[in-house]
Amino acid sequence: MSKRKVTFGDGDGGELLDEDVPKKKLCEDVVGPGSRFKGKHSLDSDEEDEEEDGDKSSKYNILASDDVEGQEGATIDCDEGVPITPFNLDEEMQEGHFDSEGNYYVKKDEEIRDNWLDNIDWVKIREQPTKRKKKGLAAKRRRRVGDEDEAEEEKQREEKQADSDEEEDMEEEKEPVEDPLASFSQHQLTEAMLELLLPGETVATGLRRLGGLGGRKKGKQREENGKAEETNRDTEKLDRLTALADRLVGSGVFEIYQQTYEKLAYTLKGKSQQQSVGRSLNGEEEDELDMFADKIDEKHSVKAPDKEDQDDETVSDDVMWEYKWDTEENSELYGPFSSQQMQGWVDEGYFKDGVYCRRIEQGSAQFYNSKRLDFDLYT
Amino acid sequence: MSYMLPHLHNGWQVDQAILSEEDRALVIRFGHDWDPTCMKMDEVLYSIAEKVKNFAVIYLVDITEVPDFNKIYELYDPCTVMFFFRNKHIMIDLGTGNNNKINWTMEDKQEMIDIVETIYRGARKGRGLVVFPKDYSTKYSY
Repeated sequence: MSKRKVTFGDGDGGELLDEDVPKKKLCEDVVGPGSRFKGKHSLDSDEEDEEEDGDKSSKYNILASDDVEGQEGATIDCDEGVPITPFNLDEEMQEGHFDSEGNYYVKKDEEIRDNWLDNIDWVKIREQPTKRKKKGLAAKRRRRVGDEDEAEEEKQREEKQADSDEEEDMEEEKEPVEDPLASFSQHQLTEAMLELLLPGETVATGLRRLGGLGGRKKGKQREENGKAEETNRDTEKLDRLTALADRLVGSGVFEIYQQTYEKLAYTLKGKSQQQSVGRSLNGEEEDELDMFADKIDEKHSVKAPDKEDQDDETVSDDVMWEYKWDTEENSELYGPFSSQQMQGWVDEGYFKDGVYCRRIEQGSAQFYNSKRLDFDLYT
Repeated sequence: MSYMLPHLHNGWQVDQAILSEEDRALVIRFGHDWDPTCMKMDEVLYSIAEKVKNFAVIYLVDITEVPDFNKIYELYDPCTVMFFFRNKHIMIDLGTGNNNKINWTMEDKQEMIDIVETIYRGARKGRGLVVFPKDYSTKYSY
């Protein structure tokens, strides 16, 4: 057992390590109380395993209070009204212990008890995973002096709950409420959102309005007017809007909170146009089944009115590609294929040496090598 | 065609332009209106401005009028085009070794459109660096 002198900064603190620890001389400077580095600062692997056994036994030795130098028994009790405690470790030693490395461990106090923790009937809780814990608690709760009121309150609460709506109904209610939203497409979610928003506000401001916080960040003058709106908290609409926004974020529209009413209306209009076109065309099967995919607008080469929209290279369309295997003029063009397909083939290594692909649209005539093309950008 | 594209006349305007565009990419040409390289570049930029207006906006900055960015963006070429999206500078790998900017004249309009579109798509996906399919490492054809 190696005795290490722990010092507290006074002049005596010269002898940090004794002679009976010769092996550790190399790392004298770094290894001290509280240091976690037990190794040696050298690259010799021979030295590695020597000390491990010895260390393990002495690691958790508790520091005796006598080992600490520089403690004082008592000192002046009061210095101008301020109570002064003597500089020693007596209190700390009572409440815990130091180990040989200088780490302090607090004694686990057996006396601190938590009434609530004691009174939980874990069996009951496991039996009723869906029902509220409180019911089990209140029923099983032993009444103690001072706890009577709490137990009574809980019982009253539960009676009220039982009266107003039965627990089973509540559970069932929760599920169907979420289901309709789950089956909404992005389009429908956006539509529902529009109903809750006012023109000219973003989703975030709408939430703030419904939450009743009013014009917090606005100027002083507005604060006075805004105070009247503060009490107007519409929880139902707020919940609904929050749920819708959350669903949209979950389905990939990350900027939804910054979208304004107008922007949403615009995107809706655009999408409904595309959808009507897509439906009439029997658009790609994948998109019909995938409710989050952007509808392809294949009409831009056929239908005249839609051409205007498509000339502006909207970025939400599904991008189709055609490719050929070499750079000759009259090589056969394969396509059109969607970006996902192209990306899949690239990943499989089907186009090992790279093929020459280009977008299917009026503008581009140049073929790009698939090796440098990132189809992921277009998906 | 420099007079047809909007100019930014001081550092604050440039900052505001970069900060305020939420949905579109920003293409900023740093240079001088009277420089031949810039003139050619401006011609190309103007010709594509309408086509890319849905996802990009183009500004011109005179680096004598606005010297604030010369050092940080190393604007030592006669004409430099840089791309920004949502207050972030977007890098593009064109094979030239300098991913921060385009500092030569891009003659082909369609290529320019493709570059801007690649920047926009990549930036929308959160990428800070996009790889452009065409390699310009041999752009100096002797």
